[in-house]
Parts: sequence; C-alpha cells; structure tokens
Amino acid sequence: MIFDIISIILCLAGAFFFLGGTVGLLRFPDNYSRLHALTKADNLGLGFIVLGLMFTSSALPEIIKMGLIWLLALVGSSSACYFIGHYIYRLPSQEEE
Amino acid sequence: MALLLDMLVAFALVATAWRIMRSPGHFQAVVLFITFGLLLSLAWARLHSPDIALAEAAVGAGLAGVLLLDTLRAVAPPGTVKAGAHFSWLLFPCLLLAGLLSLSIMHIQPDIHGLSRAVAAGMQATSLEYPVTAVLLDFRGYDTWLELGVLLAAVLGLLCVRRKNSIRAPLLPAPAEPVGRWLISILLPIIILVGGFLLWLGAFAPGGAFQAGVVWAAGGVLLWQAGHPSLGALPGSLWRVSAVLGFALFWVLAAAALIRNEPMLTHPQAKGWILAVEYAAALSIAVCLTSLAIGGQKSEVRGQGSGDR
Repeated sequence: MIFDIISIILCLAGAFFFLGGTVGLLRFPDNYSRLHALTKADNLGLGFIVLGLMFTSSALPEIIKMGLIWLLALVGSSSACYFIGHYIYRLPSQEEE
Repeated sequence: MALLLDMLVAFALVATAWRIMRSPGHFQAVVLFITFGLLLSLAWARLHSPDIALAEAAVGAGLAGVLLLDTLRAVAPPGTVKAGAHFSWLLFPCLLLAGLLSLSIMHIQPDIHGLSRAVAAGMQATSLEYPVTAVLLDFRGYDTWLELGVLLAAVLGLLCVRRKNSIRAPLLPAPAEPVGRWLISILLPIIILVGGFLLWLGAFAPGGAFQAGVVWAAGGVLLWQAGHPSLGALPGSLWRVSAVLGFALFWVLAAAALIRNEPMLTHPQAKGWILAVEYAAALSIAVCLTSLAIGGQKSEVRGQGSGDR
C-alpha cells in the first residue's frame, strides 16, 4: 500500500519532468537549449518513472533490469545529444534559427 | 483506464501516419516513420504479442529507420522539400481499402484462440517449449527458410546494383571525437550480451533468431558508423559464409529429409538441430542486415583516403 503511494508519486514526478522537457522542446529559442531540455528533463523524468516502477515490482531481476534500462537510456541520449550538438555546431551559420 | 491508454495509442498511430503523409520534408517523414514504428510496437505490446512488439521495435523502428536515413542521404541532398504529397488521388482508394478491411473484421468469428489450439496440440511433437518459436522454426520452417532467402536475395541484389563482388564496404574514417569510441566500448558488449540473451530466450519465452539477429546487426552498424577497424579485419570469406549459413542449413535439412524419404524439412527431433538452425539463422540475419545497411553506401560520400583500406 505504502509502496503503491510512493510509486504513484514518483511516476507523477516523472510525468511532470517529461511535460517540462516537452514544453522546453517546443518553446525554447534555439537548438542547443532544446537539446538541453530534451536530454536533461526527459532523462530525469524517465529516472523517476523507473524508480516508481521499481517500487511496484517484487522480483529483484526485474528491478535490476529496469535500472539497467535507465542507465542505457542515459548513455544513449547523452551521446545522441553530443552528436546532434556537434553536427549543429559545425553547420555553416544558420544554426540560430 | 486501460481502454483510455489503448485509445490514446490508436489515435497517436493514426495521427502520426497522417503527419507522415503531410510532412513537408523527407527527413521529417523518416523520423516520424521511426516514431510510428515505436508506437506500433507499443500497440503490439498492448495486444499481448511481445514477439511482434520486439520485432517491430527492432526492425520497423530501428533498422528500417537506419536504412531509410541512409537512403535519404544517398538520393536527396539535405534540405530538399518534398514536392507536394500525392495523397489527393490516393485518398479514396485508401479509404475504400480501410472500409473493406473494417467490414471484413465484422465478419471474423469472435474466436480469440485462432490457431493457438492447433499449435498447443502439436507442441508435444517438438522439443521447443515456446509456441511462437516452435511455429517459426519447426511447424512453419518453410516461411523462415524463405525469409532468410529473401534477405540473402536482397544482399545479392545490392551487390549487383553496386557492382561489387564483396559485401564489405570501405571503412569510414574514425571520427576524431572520443564520444563515439566511448559509446562503442559501453554498448557493444551489451549488444552482444542482449542478442545472445534473446536468442537463448527464444526456446521458451518471447525472443528468438530475428530479434537477436537485428540486435547484433545494430552493433555492426554502430561499429561501422564509428569507423571501427574490426569490421574491416573480418575476412571476406567468413563474411560470405556467415551470410548464407542460415539459408544453407535449412537447405541441408530439407535435402536430408528428402533423401531419408520423409516430407521436406522434417528433421530428427533433437533440440540440438533446431538450436543449430536457429543460431545459424540469427548469425545470417545479423550479417545480411549489416551488409544491407553498410554495403549500399557510396564509398566516396565521406572522406577520401578511406577508399581502399
């Protein structure tokens, strides 16, 4: 029961960060800050949701797998962020649109 | 609550499909298509079909996305705008087809079991514990065999079009930044592990040759994109042998059954046989898909000096 409440609160917190990231993606003025919103806020949101789901799970292998998935998502999105940022940085001059 | 989620997924699918048709640029359309694949795999997961969901996420969203992006780079220079979407005259045939399909759904008997009873009845005849893998590799081995043949034919077609006699593409120059190498050193062991895990899982749970092969192919594409020398170090003969191995093993199985005067593709019910075929199929799928992704590249697109390494 108490775990369910914790889980719901954590998932809502995750959803809030996802919402923030999406609003940032839509409203931020340039590519770099949009990347920032996507990678930072969304990974935090995913972390909260994973943590929330961990509380609902009873099997240890499941919990470990979910944690690994979050770490993999962190690795993937931070490198994707780097690659996109690198690409934009090397573009000739129209990056501030 | 579950109904709400299902309706949300269904609506998102239709909306994404609509956006794909109406998007102004090819690049947006490809990215939306990848999104569409991910949503579709979510829908399959909601329909309790984890096998199809896995395959859709790996093939439909992942590898098809890579192939489409590569195609885009080859045929359309960046920034070109699609000349008016041709949906106006296609709209009515599509609506007609959708209407007919919806009508046919009305006529389907509400028998949710489908063929699963027939499969369950045949399960004691096979040494596999998971019905989906048993259907793919044992009951309907024909289909899997011919799918491997289709992949092989695609690779051969690519070689013909590109006028090459080897599947291997020239290596890309290794990028200067360390992030790509860092990513590979983290992801590649996990990719090999996850692929092997899916393959091993296929005997008794969702997973199997196709999913494992696609995961490994993703590793191959990653290696190639980062200009890693290990792909080039693989001898060409090994490359060719592993590309045809899955198809060839099925062929041997079929021929052996004919010689033993049994129906084609029946095989001794030893688990070793099925596992050998499955592992060979996974290897061939991985090699064929990697070849498709990297073999179609024009060697002069990026950087000189990498042409003949």
